[in-house]
Amino acid sequence: MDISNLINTLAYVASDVDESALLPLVLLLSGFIFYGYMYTRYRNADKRHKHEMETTTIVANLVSTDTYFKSRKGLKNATMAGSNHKRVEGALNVGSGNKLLDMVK
Amino acid sequence: MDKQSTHGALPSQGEPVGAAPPPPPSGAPVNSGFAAPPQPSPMAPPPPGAIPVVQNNPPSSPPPPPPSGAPVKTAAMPDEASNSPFSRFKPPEGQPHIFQDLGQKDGITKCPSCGGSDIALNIQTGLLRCNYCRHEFSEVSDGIDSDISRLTGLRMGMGASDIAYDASDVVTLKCTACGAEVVVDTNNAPQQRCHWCRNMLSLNQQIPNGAIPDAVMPFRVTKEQAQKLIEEFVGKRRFFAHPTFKKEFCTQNIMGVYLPYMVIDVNARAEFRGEGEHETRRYTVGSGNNRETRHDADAYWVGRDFDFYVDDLTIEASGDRLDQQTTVNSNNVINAILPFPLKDTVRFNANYIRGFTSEKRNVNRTAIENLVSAQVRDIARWQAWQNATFYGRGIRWDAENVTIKGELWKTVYLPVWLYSYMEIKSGGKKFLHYVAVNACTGKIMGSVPIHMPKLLAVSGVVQLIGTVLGVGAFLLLALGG
Ligand SMILES: [Zn+2]
Ligand SMILES: [Zn+2]
Repeated sequence: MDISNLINTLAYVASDVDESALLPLVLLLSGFIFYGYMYTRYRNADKRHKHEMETTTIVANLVSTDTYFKSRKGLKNATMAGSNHKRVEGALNVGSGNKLLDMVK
Repeated sequence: MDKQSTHGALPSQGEPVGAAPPPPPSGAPVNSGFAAPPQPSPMAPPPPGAIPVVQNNPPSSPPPPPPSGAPVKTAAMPDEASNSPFSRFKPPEGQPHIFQDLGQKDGITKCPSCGGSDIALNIQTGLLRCNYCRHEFSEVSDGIDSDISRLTGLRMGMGASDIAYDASDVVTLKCTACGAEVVVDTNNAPQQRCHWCRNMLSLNQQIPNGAIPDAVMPFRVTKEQAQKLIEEFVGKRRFFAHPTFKKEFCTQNIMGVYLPYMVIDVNARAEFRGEGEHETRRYTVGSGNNRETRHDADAYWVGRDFDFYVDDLTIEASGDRLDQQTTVNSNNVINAILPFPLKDTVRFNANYIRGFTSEKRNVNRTAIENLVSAQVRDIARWQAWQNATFYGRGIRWDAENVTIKGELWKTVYLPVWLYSYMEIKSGGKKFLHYVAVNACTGKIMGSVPIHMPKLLAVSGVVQLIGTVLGVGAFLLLALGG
């Protein structure tokens, strides 16, 4: 079982429920949350070098464009649908990072 | 936010951004057949029934609104990016430019003070120390560095060039003291004592078998310090640790090992296009049990174009260490102790690795160039976000163009203290757990085998209590409403 996936799924579910229902939900899942937390604490399978933010990088000649085009009212989610600004492709311990390697056996 | 500063015809909601028409030239009337932009006042009354709960503070640094009449860059974007996520890697033209450090000399490294050849690293200082007169000295810094913003094409240190698999691991050196010929097997260590005069002979010049890196980072964390760090790390994880592991845990046999890495400087350009949302209001609708949170947000076309210079992107250069599938190994914890302070590397000298284990590089640039490409894009995406945090609800990038203009690759040996434990699971399946210490910074990460029956039992008890309390909480909420 991929624990980090489970935790991500739980976090996703939790992010979408209303705040008043959060406490009962946490209680009803407490065994799973406890298991996931402890498993991660001992095995650390989710840990990696965060290359995207830990690599020294200098930005120069930045040109920003910010063009307002509409307002959206009454949105239920706290985050933008389909946002991908924190996506990470090049991690080898999650997802399909391994497929980026071209290893000669 | 000054809505009057917005420009251009606005595509209707839901229209794919890739199809967004470019805004008309500045000053053109907004009548090009698209819906007129909604112009909500910032003071618009909340929807009926809404109870304002939180009025977001204005952002500390909103993006400056484009000055009225200023041209606004089109939100349309090149579409080749969406077709090929790895469009960047057009291989540079021609052969890579390879640097060779001609200052490297094989044979006896002499103490500059007494001329002795019995030299080893002093971990306390990170310097080479003469074991005869105790004089300490250092190898020069590796010299392969550059102004990244001016880097073009593909450049490589000699130590990063492709491994010649037919190159012999065995090299014969002539002892400069007595003239004897001494064989060095680079698979073990690039050093050998002369059998006749007992001088230590070192192989420092790079040979095409990948055994000699461009630079080395000396150990700075002593074995005793590493043992203490590892004991603390495991000590915090004892309750659910496997009993066999607890019985056998001992840090006496931790290994100081130099692991091979590719270190890459990259001069690149990024062009990001997408849509971002900035929250303007958060409030609660409904009443009693049916209260729900709602958000209002302004949507923007967002563009971020910039040059960026990546310094010392670090990737494992060993096939074993690159395999970080956490279901079969714990190599990811060795990855997690990066980064190293790579400005402190020195030119390779075999005396630095004397007494330590070292892993030979067995990975070439081509094996990891797609990985490097992906990581450079990750860096660009992160930097784009760092310069667009106004969009607190997020950004959906529809086009990400990252072009690498120049890259410089070199190989470096980095020092790691490793504790390893082979767990034999009930089915006979083996799993190697590591606890790794960065021997420069002391950063530690590890994997501790779990006693599953115990963890499952305690989780079950927690679940039982949680269920009772959770049902109670639901009932309370229902009755309270
Ligand atoms: Zn000396
Ligand atoms: Zn000799």
